[in-house]
Amino acid sequence: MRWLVALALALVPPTYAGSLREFEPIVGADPQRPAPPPLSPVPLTLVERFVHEVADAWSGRDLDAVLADEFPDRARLLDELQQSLPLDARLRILSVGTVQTLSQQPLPDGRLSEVLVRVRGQIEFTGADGQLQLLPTHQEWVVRIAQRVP
Amino acid sequence: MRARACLAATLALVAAAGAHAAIEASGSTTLRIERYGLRGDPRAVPWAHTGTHGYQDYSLRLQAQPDAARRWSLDTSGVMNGSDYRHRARGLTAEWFNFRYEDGGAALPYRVELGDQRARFSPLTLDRRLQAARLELQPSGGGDTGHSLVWLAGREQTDWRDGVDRGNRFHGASWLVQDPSLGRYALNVVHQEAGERGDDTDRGRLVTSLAAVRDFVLWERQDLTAEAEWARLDGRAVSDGPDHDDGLRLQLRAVDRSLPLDYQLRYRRHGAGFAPLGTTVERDSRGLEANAGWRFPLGVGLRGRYDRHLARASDQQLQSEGYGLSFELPQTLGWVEWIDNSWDLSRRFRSDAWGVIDSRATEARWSIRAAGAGGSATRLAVSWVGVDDHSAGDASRERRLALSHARTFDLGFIEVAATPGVDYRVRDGLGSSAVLNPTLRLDAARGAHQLGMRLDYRTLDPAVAADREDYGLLLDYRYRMAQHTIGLEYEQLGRAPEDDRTTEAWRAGLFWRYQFDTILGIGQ
Repeated sequence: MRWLVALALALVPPTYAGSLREFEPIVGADPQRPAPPPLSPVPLTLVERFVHEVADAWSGRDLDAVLADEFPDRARLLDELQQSLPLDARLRILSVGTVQTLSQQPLPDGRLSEVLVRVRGQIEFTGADGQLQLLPTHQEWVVRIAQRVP
Repeated sequence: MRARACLAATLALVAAAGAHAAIEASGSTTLRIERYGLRGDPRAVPWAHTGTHGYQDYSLRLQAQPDAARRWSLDTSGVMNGSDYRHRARGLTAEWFNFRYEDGGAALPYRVELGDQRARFSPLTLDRRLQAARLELQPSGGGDTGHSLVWLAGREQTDWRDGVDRGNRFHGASWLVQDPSLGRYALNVVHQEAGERGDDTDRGRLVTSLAAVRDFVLWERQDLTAEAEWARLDGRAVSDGPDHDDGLRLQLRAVDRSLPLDYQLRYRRHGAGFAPLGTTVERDSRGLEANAGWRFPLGVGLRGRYDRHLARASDQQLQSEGYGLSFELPQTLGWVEWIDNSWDLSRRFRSDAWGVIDSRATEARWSIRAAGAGGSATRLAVSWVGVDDHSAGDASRERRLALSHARTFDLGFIEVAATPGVDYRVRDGLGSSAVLNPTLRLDAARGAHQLGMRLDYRTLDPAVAADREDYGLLLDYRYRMAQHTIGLEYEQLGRAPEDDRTTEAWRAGLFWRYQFDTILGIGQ
């Protein structure tokens, strides 16, 4: 992700901002309320690399580093992961699907984007019978990416 | 059929909205072909499907602004699939189609949105990705107060293929008022019907909510943002539940102007019959979360947290209560400037009214990050987790150590980053086992070429089964030339149990990606 500098990355709540909707001005309707600029899609490589970083963080019990602060029940989720997962459990990414930039906000030296990405993966661990157990997951993640724009 | 309808709609909408405007087009397509192979026990490898798998993703965005008060955009993406690892269905699937048009020069400024979209009214009424039609009006009432009226009708569905279950249906309206000094207020009304997987007797339900967000100053020194929402659900949401119930959520965020203090509070209460479909609300539950942070001189940070959650509140009363304290010490208080320290301590209690669950967990973590010469960095994380299950009379103790070192250097004219690491975990008591996992990652780059390699070795020593050794090799090469990227990937996994029945699996992949960003100039 280094070819475009990411300032901060986070996996945000599955239901987007977790708050009341915002007033989004319509372009040209009111000079006092300028509309946000058109979306500029976030590069795929950046999102793909972050998806694999999330999987590594999950497998390394370090999800704390990538989970957004406002994620609902954040502390409970992190505790459950630390205390309940089998010791060798890991998350494997099988494919990263298409990516959709949902919204963008300007930053002093760049922009903050919320991106929806389709992820197929599976959780792998050794079961009580010693056999490999596979739990497939098919999810849409909402990822927040801050980019510095020249 | 639906994918073709999307394509036809795309062309029609572009023709209608794009006249006399330069159109900015951007997008990409990725063709990926992979082959999976196996020798040994198929139950011992993570890839369930062998053979050749391929797919091609596409994404396209068109946008234009014919004049200062009108603009439109069209986003679409999907896949031509022939892989069991990409999508459940074969063939062409449109996964996202969205058209948006807004006109601020009309007597009543409006925005129309058709197709996939984030349908968000509020957390207690509707907050979902839907396939929907949405109309927004923003009447100008003069002054600083803004009004937004939204009507929406749509269905919960993740792609445009035929033959899949029809998702939940939503039909609603939202009136939002925003004033710079008074805050943001909304009235939301949503009618919801369960989809094909729902109960046949479901006749739909109506969710109505009032929500407010307001910024204010407390004691002339604390900037606060308060948010509240109350919602009522009419109609039976649960087969044996009441035919109406309500939900409430409150939230407060504060930052002190003069002290290095910030804090947050969240509370929610959802009745036994409060189960709106378009949200992640957990019915019959209560939740409280609080945290506060204090920043000392030299960047030292202290943060405390508390949370309490009650599920199935009206019968089993599953309770989870936790608190924790984290402490950050950048540059070790100035004593060792190249080392950052952090500590975290937490406890969690779980119980229920039936006495089936009664456990206590304690966790302690310490991590350091040491910066070395030439951009090198070392990370060490040590953790201890103790779980006492009083209901079953079991206990477990887990210790973990993770150490890694990253170093960048030049090898001739090639820039190389090397990251060796080791992760050791051991659990005693219930589910006892041990895992030792050394890794080595190398990344090399020169000009348009990038090469990555990862070696992974893992020994597992489970108490209930034979010992096992896993190893993995991942090679990843990429070449980028203007708008094209070509990649080669090879991954090999091996598993050797104690009885020497070795299993090997491999994956070889090739991809080509083309990205573009151009001005089409149609109609100019």
